[in-house]
Amino acid sequence: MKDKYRLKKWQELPPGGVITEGGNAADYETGTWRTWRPVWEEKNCIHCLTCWVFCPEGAFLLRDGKTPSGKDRKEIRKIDYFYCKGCGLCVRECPVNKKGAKEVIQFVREET
Amino acid sequence: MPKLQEMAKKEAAFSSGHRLCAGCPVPIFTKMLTRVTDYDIVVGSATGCLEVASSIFPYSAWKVPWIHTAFENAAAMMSGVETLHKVHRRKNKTDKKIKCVAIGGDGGTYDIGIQSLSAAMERGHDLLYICYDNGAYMNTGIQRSGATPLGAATTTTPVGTVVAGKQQQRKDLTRIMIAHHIPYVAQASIHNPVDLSNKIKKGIEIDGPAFLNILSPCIPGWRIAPDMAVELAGLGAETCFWPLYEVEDQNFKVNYEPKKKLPVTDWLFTQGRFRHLRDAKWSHLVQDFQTRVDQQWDWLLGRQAATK
Amino acid sequence: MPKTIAITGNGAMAEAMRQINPDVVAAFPITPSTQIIEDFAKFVADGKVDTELITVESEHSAMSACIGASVAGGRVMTATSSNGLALMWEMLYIAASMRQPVLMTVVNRAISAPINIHCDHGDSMGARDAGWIQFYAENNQEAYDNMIMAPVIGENMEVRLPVMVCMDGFIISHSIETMEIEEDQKVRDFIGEHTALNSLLDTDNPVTWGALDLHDYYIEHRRGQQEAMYRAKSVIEDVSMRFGEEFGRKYDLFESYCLDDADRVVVAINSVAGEIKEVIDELREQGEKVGLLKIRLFRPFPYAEIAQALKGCKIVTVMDRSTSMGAYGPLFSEISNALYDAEAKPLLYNRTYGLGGRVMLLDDIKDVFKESEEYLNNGKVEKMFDFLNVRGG
Repeated sequence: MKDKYRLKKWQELPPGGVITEGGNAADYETGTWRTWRPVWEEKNCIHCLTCWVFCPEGAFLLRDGKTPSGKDRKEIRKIDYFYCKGCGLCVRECPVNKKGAKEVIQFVREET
Repeated sequence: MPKLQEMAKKEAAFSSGHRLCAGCPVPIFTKMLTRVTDYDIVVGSATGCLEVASSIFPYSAWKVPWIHTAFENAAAMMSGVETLHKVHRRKNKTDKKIKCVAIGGDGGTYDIGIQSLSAAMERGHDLLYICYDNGAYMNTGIQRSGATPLGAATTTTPVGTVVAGKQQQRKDLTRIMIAHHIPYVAQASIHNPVDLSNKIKKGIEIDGPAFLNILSPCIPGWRIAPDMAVELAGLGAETCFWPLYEVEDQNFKVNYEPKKKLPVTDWLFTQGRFRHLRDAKWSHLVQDFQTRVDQQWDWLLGRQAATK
Repeated sequence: MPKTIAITGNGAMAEAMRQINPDVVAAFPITPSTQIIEDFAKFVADGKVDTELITVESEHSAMSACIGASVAGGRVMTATSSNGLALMWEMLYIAASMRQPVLMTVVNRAISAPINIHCDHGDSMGARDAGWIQFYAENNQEAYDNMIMAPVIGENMEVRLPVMVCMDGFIISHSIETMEIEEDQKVRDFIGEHTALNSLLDTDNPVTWGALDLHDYYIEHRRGQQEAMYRAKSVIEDVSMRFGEEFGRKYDLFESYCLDDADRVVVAINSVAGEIKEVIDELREQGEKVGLLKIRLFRPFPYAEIAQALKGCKIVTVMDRSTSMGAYGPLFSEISNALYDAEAKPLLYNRTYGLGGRVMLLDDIKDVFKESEEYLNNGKVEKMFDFLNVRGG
């Protein structure tokens, strides 16, 4: 827990219950909810971004890359397990997974 | 039309670390809000799952200015925000063109908030109202709403020996909004990101009021596995329970026509909330369900043909 | 120079709104406050104000839109009465807890049922715990003056709270009286510019308003809100003093009328004070030591100051124009609280009057003083609580 999230006294709070830092939920770990873990296999990935657009947690991180023909594109970099709740939506919706021959995202039991 | 690659270049409106259920598809559209448009946006939420799970003090998942005050008033509240922006523009206090977005669930939109929604649309505010329809009051623990489909089990329409789930058909809010003759009304679903993002973009950027109804399956409410939201939303479109269409200035356009319309049972029987309908005892409910869906679909195709 | 004009209470409040020239007004008509918004709509139509008027479909939406526009960073106003205020109930609390200095005229009217359009204070008294600063006004001049002071008080950075100015339905709202309207520019100079705080329209600094508090923060936010109310009292004193210096009409937290040497005191709110003063003048001529304490500020309630003012009097009659069913009247409860620590406690009792517009004539007021004389002579209060002017006793 960062110091800025220590419990504040009433005198330290801005009026009206306002939160003045937009998007600071990103400091909150939701990865602890996970019981199953999606594991991304880069070599099979076609970088269609389906997992990225569907992931409710924004847990698919992107990087700048190139298409096979050399055009700029955004590519999957990794899964951020700080946020991933392990819903498995990416595993089910991955179009490569759906075809069945190869697996881009595997779903494995979280080790306890 | 915003492609995924285009959207990926822009920052999401909604951060990670929110506390919606695992597998809840709502962030699919909240993340998009800033990715589909270059306008600055301000968002206001009705009380509901999204509101609660995105703003647990001192954390906020909103990377854009955001406000919540109550359950039934998102449209009225955002009328105030939009109006003040209008004043600022008139008085040259800002050179920004800010767009306002209100978001409510089906409880806050079909039911308790329909009065303030209707009035805000009639007054013509430059406001996109998004309803994420998950078919019940999910935030308070799955009670029936005006959007709950016929036969669905909820905690206030339980399945008993003489009554099987909700006994009434859902109301068609999208059609009610079309009757407001506002510039843009559309139905979208979380399973089709391209169509969805296109509609959010239009709704935000159009001048004047716009209404977008998004089918958004609920993991506990529909009694489905956490990875099933997208698939179930897709079946909603394939069965024509939830047609994807838009109405611009009363011109109807169906955005997706299934090659072969699937029977509603393909959608119903993949959800735990309709499990009891497999019993032949309740087959009349399934028939009524199918009849309503067929009527809606025919009406829609008719409207599209009429405005072509 | 101020203009002396003859105008209704509603007209006076519309004038105050015109001079304040808020960014946004959102309102829904309800008797007897309707004329305020009608007059204001005409000001908008004639370009006399820069305001955007949102003609909402309900009072709930009126207050919701006011809160939205206020959080967005604007100065906002509305007006309502009775059931309209009741429909706003949820949003009143939210406006206050989100610390939005929304300004509102409440033209006091009885709450249904039975439906009744006439004056009592059941509406605003029902809202007394909502977290709004509450002013009460005897006549149109006081209502106007309070409203001119309201933005200066509510928008003060130490306060940031909504302000309600209450006046009696029909008796004041629809009666023409002469009063002084100050010059527009002087009023605007006195009020100053509105300062936004964490504005929703500042898209470069995105803020989240209306978050969910669990058990770890709710009480801290409420504690801070209470403190703002405490601080409001001294801000109100300062602003009232400044108002007096600027415009010549002096206001304390309450009005003391013949109070200094009074043995028998009536405590009352709003228009009935005019009749009480007239009766006091008459009784004083006959040598009776009677006085009036007229409430101006009900929230925050000036307990210590009132206890001080009532020091030395022998009997106090508290007149409530509303009921708290199953309890004493709301004003009585506060006066009773204020006197708890007093060294020499006066006799104290409660009378309910005027519900649903039931008239109090001068003779009725005289009866009130006659009764307090009897009680004082007997050294005890016979009936702690009673209704006045009700058939059947």
